[in-house]
Amino acid sequence: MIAIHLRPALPSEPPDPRAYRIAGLTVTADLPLPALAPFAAPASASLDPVPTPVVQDGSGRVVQGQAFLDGRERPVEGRSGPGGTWLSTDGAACTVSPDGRTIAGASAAEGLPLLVDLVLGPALCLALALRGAFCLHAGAVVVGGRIVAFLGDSGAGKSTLARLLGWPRAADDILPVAGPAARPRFPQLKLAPQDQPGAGLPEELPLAAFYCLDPPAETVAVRPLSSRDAALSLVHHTVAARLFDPGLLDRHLGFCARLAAEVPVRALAYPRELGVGPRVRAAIAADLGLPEHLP
Amino acid sequence: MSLSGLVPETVVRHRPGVLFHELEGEMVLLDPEAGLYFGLNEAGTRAWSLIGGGASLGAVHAALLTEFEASPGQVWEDLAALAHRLLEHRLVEIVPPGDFNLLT
Repeated sequence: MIAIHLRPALPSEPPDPRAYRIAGLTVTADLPLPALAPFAAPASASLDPVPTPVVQDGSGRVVQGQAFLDGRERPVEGRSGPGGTWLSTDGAACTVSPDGRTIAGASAAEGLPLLVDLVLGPALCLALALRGAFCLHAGAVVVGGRIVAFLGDSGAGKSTLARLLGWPRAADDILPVAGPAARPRFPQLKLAPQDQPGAGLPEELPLAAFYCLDPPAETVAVRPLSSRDAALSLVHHTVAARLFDPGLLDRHLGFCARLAAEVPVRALAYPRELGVGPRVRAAIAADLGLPEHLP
Repeated sequence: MSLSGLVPETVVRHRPGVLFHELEGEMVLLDPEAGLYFGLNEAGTRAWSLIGGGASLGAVHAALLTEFEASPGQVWEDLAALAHRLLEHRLVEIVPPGDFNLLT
């Protein structure tokens, strides 16, 4: 379980705990989180009380990054120390405990939407990593009961491609992975709650393949990657990896190496033009040895 | 350090804290302090393994000559270039001469 504590930011609010199923784990919050409404846990889910951690400023290693929060890209600072990892951006801050079991946030009331995105974005991704599930920058679709994921930096076209292929979508921007399986029930913060692609999917689906998006090309082409380059691609496209301490980096590297050995990782090149969807779909189906018209 | 500073007697070692993982004969290296990742091909992976055993660059060169088809000059040039890059990115460090006996 991961417990999210936001009431310190709104001490006058009455406690209203909720439970959700996210990336294979129960995530509890002491306030309703509309972005997580599609992932509400069954009413029988346990809401065991967790001591409220103190939100504190870490004094250790400092890292800088960017994240899409509350409508735009913002700089995020992370500080790691014995008490956990402190994340802050534009007046909102939260702490992820060293074991990834709690996230505590603090901000002024008017900054709550930004705080919630900070918590459900980089903080939740870090907490999941500490719990053994790593989040990849990936769009994804479901093909024959398995996940096909597209890895790419922001703006590479992974969301657009997932929409063009005609297969059911599983992720828009972030896909948690644990072992050789994906956990698509995860909030895609760039989409409205009613448009969450993972909400109606099983908690875990096997992975069919990863396709790393190459720069625009004149023709559609799929080529395999070496195990080394496959692992490096998975490492490169992991969310919040800058926040990992050396121990977690070591576990992450081993995870990516094992994943690259178990799941095919390819490079996919295609022209960014109208009508390319069916050609890419045909190429992926052929690569996977599947009928092109498999729903 | 310039390539000319590396001689067969030079001993380099993995810098403590650098992480690495071998995949089908190739290597992924990670400097956790800098958060940077590097990839080595088959020959580089073999050189990395030999360096990890405390061998001098000369001994590494001799071993690589028996395992890869290339002229001695080419192998030394490639090895020195690799060592230089590994030093540049702080993935290895030069062992001071007084520390040699600690490696046996």
